[in-house]
Amino acid sequence: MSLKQTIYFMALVGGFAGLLCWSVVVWISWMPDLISATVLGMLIGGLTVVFSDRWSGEQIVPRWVLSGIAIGFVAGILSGLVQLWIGSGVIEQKRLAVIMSWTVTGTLIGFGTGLRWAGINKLRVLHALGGGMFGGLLGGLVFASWTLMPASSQTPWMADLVRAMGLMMTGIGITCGVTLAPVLLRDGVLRFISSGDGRAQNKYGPNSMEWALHDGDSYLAGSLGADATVTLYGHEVQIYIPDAMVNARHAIIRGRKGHFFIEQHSENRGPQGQPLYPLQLRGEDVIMPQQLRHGDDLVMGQTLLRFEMRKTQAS
Amino acid sequence: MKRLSLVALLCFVSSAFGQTAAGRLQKADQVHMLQSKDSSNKPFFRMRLTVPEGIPKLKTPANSIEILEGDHTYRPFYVQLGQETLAAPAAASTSRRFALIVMDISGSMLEQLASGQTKFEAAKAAAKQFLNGFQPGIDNIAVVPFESHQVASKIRRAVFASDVQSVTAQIEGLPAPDRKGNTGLYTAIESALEVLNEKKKEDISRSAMLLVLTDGKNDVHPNKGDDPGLLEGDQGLAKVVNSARSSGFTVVTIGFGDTPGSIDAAALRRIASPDHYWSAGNLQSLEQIFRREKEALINQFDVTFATGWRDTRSLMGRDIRFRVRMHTDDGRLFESDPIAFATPETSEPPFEGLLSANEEEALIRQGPLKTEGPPVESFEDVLLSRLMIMAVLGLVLAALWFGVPRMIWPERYLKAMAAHYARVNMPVRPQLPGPLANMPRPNIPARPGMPRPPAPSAARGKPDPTATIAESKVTLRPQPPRAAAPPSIAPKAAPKPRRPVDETIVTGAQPPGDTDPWGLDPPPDAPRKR
Repeated sequence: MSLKQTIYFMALVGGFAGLLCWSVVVWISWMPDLISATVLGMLIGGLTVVFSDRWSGEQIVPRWVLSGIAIGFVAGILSGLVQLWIGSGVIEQKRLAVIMSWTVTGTLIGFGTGLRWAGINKLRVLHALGGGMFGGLLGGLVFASWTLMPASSQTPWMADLVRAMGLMMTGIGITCGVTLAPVLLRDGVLRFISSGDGRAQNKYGPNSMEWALHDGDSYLAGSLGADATVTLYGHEVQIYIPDAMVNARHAIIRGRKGHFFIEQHSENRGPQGQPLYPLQLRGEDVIMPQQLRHGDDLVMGQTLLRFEMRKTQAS
Repeated sequence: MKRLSLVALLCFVSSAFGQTAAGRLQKADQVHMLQSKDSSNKPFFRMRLTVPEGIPKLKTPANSIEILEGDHTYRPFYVQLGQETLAAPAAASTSRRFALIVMDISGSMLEQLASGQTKFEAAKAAAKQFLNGFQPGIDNIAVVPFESHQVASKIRRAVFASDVQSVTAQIEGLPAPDRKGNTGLYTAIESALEVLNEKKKEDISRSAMLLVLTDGKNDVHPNKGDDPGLLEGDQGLAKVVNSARSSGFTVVTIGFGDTPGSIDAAALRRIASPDHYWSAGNLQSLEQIFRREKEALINQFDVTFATGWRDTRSLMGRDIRFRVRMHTDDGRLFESDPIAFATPETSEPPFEGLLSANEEEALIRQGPLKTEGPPVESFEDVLLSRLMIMAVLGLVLAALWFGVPRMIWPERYLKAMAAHYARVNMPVRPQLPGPLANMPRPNIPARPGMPRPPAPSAARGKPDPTATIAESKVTLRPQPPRAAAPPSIAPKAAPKPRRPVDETIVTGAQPPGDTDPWGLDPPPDAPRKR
């Protein structure tokens, strides 16, 4: 799935989470703001894991989904408590209090969602936090817009509609922001071109799969399936290639000071230093770390990938 | 022109002098939202206010009181007035009143006043003034002491007595101040509010008042034997102020003593309800304060009214503030400050109870409600409208998920369809770069669980290098898993001359016999992958 498609569909996942949240909390009158934030946090935490794993070609690991739900729950509870505090009169102006409350909610849920990438790059967590803040602000504005409408022009069902729209916009904003921030700030892209292994070809070929790469990050490429990992929340292999000729842990791509480098993983290193399973850059075996240049073709097993820098840097 | 100016001046002067100063109505409880027994979603509101001067004569209370909300003015359909004087008996329908008196017994209360009495003795004597006009069955009063030891537990042990003798016994039985005791004022008030909250939860129609008497300021030293975790500092004060405001009770604070600077008047003023902070320097003024507050507790009235809000859902996130205005028969005017009704930010406020039988009767007597727009919705209407919203928004999401992407990214779906078609009809993988697809890998051990591409067999013939994979007649059949090669280390064969990678992949050209154009094969005895 291309980056644009990922952003689009992930935004819809957030909207779905918001609608689901509304359909639950609309019947609850006990501490509705706290419950709304908590349920939304849980749904976003769980659904982002489910769909991002599905689109990255990985299996859906229940352990990761549960971790996502748990982190979303904690973020939701915390944000709900902050909402209660803000609503208790800390901010006198009601509309401002609503906007502030939901901005905090989005920020915390975004932060929780971003923890998934904390192992790769801590800056990525900040990206998710910023994206979540944007989403929360969006939802808060929708909620606040309701009170701007003159009472005479309102019908009761409109309140329900605005509430549903507010939660959906919050969800869309959070998931879109969490996905968009890393894409906007990416420094390079690894693009799937084709593969001799049917599984990789069928999984990534139709959607022209892309992996966003960030300066400062370190990505592990390989064929280690999600079912074989023991991590609690995130992937051990970020660039998953289901290719029989790709080692479980095949290669490492690192971004350092605006440049990207590839090196073979120690598990794929042969006795003489040559790759056990194919790893070639520009037609040569990758034995020592090599710098990736814009437009480089990279062969891993039977799979061909192409590396591209961002345009500004490529020029 | 001069005449006009004179008339205008006269009008201004007459209006200025003709307007009597408005008296104050004080909020005595939170605003409660109630539901009618017809289960409709229409909100009704009940407010409790105090007239400190005593409730005046009102021939037609419902017509003498008006509630203002923004530009709208409403009349209550039900008014319940309290006692007019201490001497007059309470009406049978008067709800129960709860008062909790929290008395400071820190060491400083042993100091003597100018009269020679200790502060503690004077406080006990003055507190008895609060029992004047005690109404058995209606009044419930508890008296609890506090200093800095076992503060919360002592206050939670408060027993609300419903007869004068028991309350008097509680006052007389207050323990003598301990010279080592400090002042856990904030924790004492916080705990007292919790106790009253519990009483209020049992019946929201109850009146509740908290009276706190202290001669000092919050002063705790947990490292010197005081209770651990006692509230202190600005944070502690902010917590107590927040609890006092959100409780909706009348909170009375009294600073007692004639030593200048010993009382934290600023903190006590912040904790107290508006106009309910007092400072007393002697017994007489303290007695007067207790009498006045007792009047405030009994001079309360409830108003129940409907507003222009047709449905609780419309109240979501609203900043609603009511002002109550009372016109007395003798021409006086009483008015309250704006009283806020707290609404959740993203949902409708919940009903806190049902209208009482008297309120329902008054509502029916008043006739149909005059509200603009469609009639009040029943629960079934609410359910239906929510299901409709869910269905419509769900359909919008489905259209965005399944429909719109097919228009924005048609190639994504065409590719997927083509791949599916190819899978169904051709056992050979389609659209693969030629050399990679047919690359023999006889020497690489298969990884468990990962099927490997089968090697071309001599029986099946060699592939035509000029044909693409899709055109090739070669069919690949599943091969039984091969035994893993024995792990041994051997030098890799010298690499063969290579051709550019991109050309090979794009064209798929591969000369016959060149089964490893890139020299990618690992040595035949390569170690097994993990």
